[in-house]
Amino acid sequence: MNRLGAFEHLLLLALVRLGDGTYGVPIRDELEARTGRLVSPGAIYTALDRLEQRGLVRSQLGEPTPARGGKRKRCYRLTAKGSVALRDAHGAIAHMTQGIKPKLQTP
Amino acid sequence: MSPSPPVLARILLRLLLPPEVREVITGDLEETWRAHPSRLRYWRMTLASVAAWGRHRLRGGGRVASDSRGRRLRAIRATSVPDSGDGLMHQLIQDLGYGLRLMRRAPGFTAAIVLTLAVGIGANAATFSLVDVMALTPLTYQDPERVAFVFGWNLERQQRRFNLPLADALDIGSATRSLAAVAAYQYWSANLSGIDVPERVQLYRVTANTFELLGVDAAQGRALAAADGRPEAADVVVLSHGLWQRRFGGAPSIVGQRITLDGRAHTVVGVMPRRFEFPVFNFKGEAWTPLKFDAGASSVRDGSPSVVAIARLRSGVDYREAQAELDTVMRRLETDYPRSNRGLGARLLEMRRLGEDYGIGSISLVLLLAVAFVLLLACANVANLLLSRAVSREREIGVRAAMGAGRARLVRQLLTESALLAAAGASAGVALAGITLRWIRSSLPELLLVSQPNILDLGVDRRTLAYTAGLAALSALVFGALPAWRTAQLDLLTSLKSGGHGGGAPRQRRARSALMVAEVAVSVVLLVGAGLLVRGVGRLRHVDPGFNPDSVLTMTISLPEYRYPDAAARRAFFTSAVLGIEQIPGVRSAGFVNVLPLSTYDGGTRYVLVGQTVEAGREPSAAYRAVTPNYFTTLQIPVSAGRAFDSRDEASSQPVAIVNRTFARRTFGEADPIGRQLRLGRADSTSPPRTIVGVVGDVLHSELTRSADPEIYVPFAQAPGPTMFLAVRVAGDADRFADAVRAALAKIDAGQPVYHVKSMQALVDAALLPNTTATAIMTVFAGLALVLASVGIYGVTSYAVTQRAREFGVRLALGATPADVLAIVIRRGLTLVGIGTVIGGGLAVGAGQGLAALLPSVRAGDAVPYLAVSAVLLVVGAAACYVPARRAMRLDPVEILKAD
Repeated sequence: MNRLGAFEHLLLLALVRLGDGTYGVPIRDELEARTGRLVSPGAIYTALDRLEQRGLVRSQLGEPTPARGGKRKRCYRLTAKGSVALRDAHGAIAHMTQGIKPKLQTP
Repeated sequence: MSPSPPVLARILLRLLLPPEVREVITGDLEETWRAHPSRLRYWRMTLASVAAWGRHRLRGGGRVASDSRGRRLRAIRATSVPDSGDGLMHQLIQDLGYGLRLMRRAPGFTAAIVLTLAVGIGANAATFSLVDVMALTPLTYQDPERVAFVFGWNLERQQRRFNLPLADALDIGSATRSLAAVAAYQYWSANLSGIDVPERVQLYRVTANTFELLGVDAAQGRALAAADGRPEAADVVVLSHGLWQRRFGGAPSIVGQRITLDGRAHTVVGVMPRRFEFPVFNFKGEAWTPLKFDAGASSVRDGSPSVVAIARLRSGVDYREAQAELDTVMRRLETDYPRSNRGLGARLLEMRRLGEDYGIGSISLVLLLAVAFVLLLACANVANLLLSRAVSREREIGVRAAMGAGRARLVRQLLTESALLAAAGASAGVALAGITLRWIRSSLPELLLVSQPNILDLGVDRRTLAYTAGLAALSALVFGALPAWRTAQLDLLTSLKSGGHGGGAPRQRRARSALMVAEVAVSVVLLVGAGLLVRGVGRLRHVDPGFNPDSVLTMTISLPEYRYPDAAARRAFFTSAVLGIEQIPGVRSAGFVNVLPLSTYDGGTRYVLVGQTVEAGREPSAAYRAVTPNYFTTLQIPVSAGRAFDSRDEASSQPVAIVNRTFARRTFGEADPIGRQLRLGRADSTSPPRTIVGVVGDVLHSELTRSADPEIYVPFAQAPGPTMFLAVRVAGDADRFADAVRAALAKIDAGQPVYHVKSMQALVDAALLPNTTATAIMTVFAGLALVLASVGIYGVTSYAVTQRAREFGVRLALGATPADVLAIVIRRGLTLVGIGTVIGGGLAVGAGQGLAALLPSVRAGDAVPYLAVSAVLLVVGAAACYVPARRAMRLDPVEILKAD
């Protein structure tokens, strides 16, 4: 069973939104734009590292670009196992929120 | 072109993150930087990233180790990977994580180490805090290092005399360039009335610039201002936080109200902050009123009041320069006013160094050294424990080394483990120190409460924490170095082959024996030191002060001028007071004196023998006492020639004086002093000649360790001052008579407060306080040292027994009796203790001489402590060896040989 922490859950959702091959900067921008949380690259990569160890994401090094000062980036994609974990988590949330939607509605 | 990201942050990233992770993270940061070049954001991201990565590694994550074969292997692998430009932080975090796991795996072992260190470090932290407060470090003045006393200095005798005439203080202020300001103050005590019970408060008259010089402003209202010091200014007063709370309930409306001091209304203009303490070496003041004088008339030197002067050095001027300029100014004053200033110099003393001058400095030094030795002992015990564990870890270390960990890497890891232990020990030690200091704070003697500035700040403050942290780091090096070094020396192949049993046993044993000898030696030094101090205090207790303090009650009375304006009124009060008190049942006799021995007050006078001519300014001086007739009887000061004062010596009768033996010997040698005459005051004094009618025994007035000063006594009736100390000899316990004496005084004047009510014995105890305190603390340290040393002896012997179990088994199997085995163990143990005692004894001789040089009551040649300490250590050593030796005796040879 692959349980997800809240932050891990958000990260996997970001990967789905941004598509395969995304990396730290877009992930962080997405998190900041949609949740208002400012997250450091360190926090993102360590969480992704944990997820990779559990086989939920896979990564590879990309090409260096001038915009990054000649540094390479690490690009991530969701694995099949990751999709299952995300679906499970989503299902659990859906079940728990059933019937209380009006109270949770954001104004 | 946008600016480049913060260099320091990039260095941090480079230093703390492993290369591959660093590349990806720095890349992201760089990319973001181009979009929004905010340094603040860059820094936040950097620090958060490093922290996140650190936490990640601590939990066992990290890209290097993605196997699933358990934590231990991963940790071993992690610390075994050769240095390959991996970030330092990365390794440190690995080591910390591994160290924490090790600590958790052996809780008993960890607890023993942490507790030992806690005692050692805690004792140091508490002592430091104590010494720090005693040394006046927490004075809350602005730039306190530039605030100094300007003490008068007797050039002829090269002796300090504290006070200066106000006129000199003012002239110094205007003539020196290196002193930014000079202020002065005068002790005063006044009857505070107009509220419930009248009370005597200790206060100071201060020049109006005093608070400005100290750089402290009032917490409420204002401090004194220049205008308050003019003769025509209204009477104002500034209260201390303590007095405001105690007498006025902390009411904020106090500013602007009037209070009555010695019958005069004073307007309260301000309240000082809670932590403000006045620079004193006697009573802390509770209120301050302006010292008023006419600045234009300051050159009138005759009758210039005697003050304590303080100064602030101009910034950039050092004490030597300022002193040189002060010397020049004083020489000029000497030439300009030879009558008042001949032989008078002045010395600057940084205010915070006043304590050093009182011997507190040397006592502090002794205590700090002693407690450092206690910590050294604790470290030795911890090193001992770590050495034992190093043996059981030889195999693990061997595996690491075999997998490629360099020596440096292994040593670094072991030192990190030591640092963790030291940190845990320091935290526990700080807690221990906090508890101890709270206890000390709640049981402080009254004398310290009223006279020691900032004494209630005693506690673990920032300075103590910094000191403790430094100490912990040093300890980690001390107790971690030996085991780490031993490990680095290991022959890895042997330790792997032998399966971790006794790889380097003989060398190990030597190291341990050396540790044990050192521990015994250090504890001998501490025990002998404590013994010498105890004997020194014992000797002080038996010093004859020249009077009998038993069953004597003392108190002080100050008659305010507005109620007792002249000599006749004062004489009437004190005369009827003696009569009234002597009628109380149980009172044997009562007498008044202007300054009581050991009361911390003193008074002196110049004098000239009639028939001698002395150049002005070169008159000799002596201590001055005005006493009522029964004073000598009350304190049982013996009259060795002539007579005591009696009812014959009235105001109008022939002026007389009594001198003490020291005075008689110094002035007249073998000749008879009775009938000789002297005049009090300067050479041109117009006071009537006094005939010496008696000689009394010497009294140790200010310190029990010093010899007596020459003293001149005059009858109170011929010199009635307003402030007098009362001494009452009673039958039985002096303190029980306090109420009866108060009642007798109230019958004469119900509105007259008394203060400093205490037994004469309490004054003697207070005089011994620095010595008794130091001795008590030293004894605690010596006790700790003895416990630590015996634990050390036990540990080493116990380990030796385990190591030699096989040998003992063989001996027992071959026919040795258990008693033989016992003898072997104890003989070996006691040999080491003996060597330690001899070495320690040698060191203690040196330490004893040092102590004797610092504290006059200590006699270095005193053999008793040396003999007693040797005996104690042999007994304790034998006991500590006996427990493991009994284990050796009961070994079952069959079991041991089978196990092989």
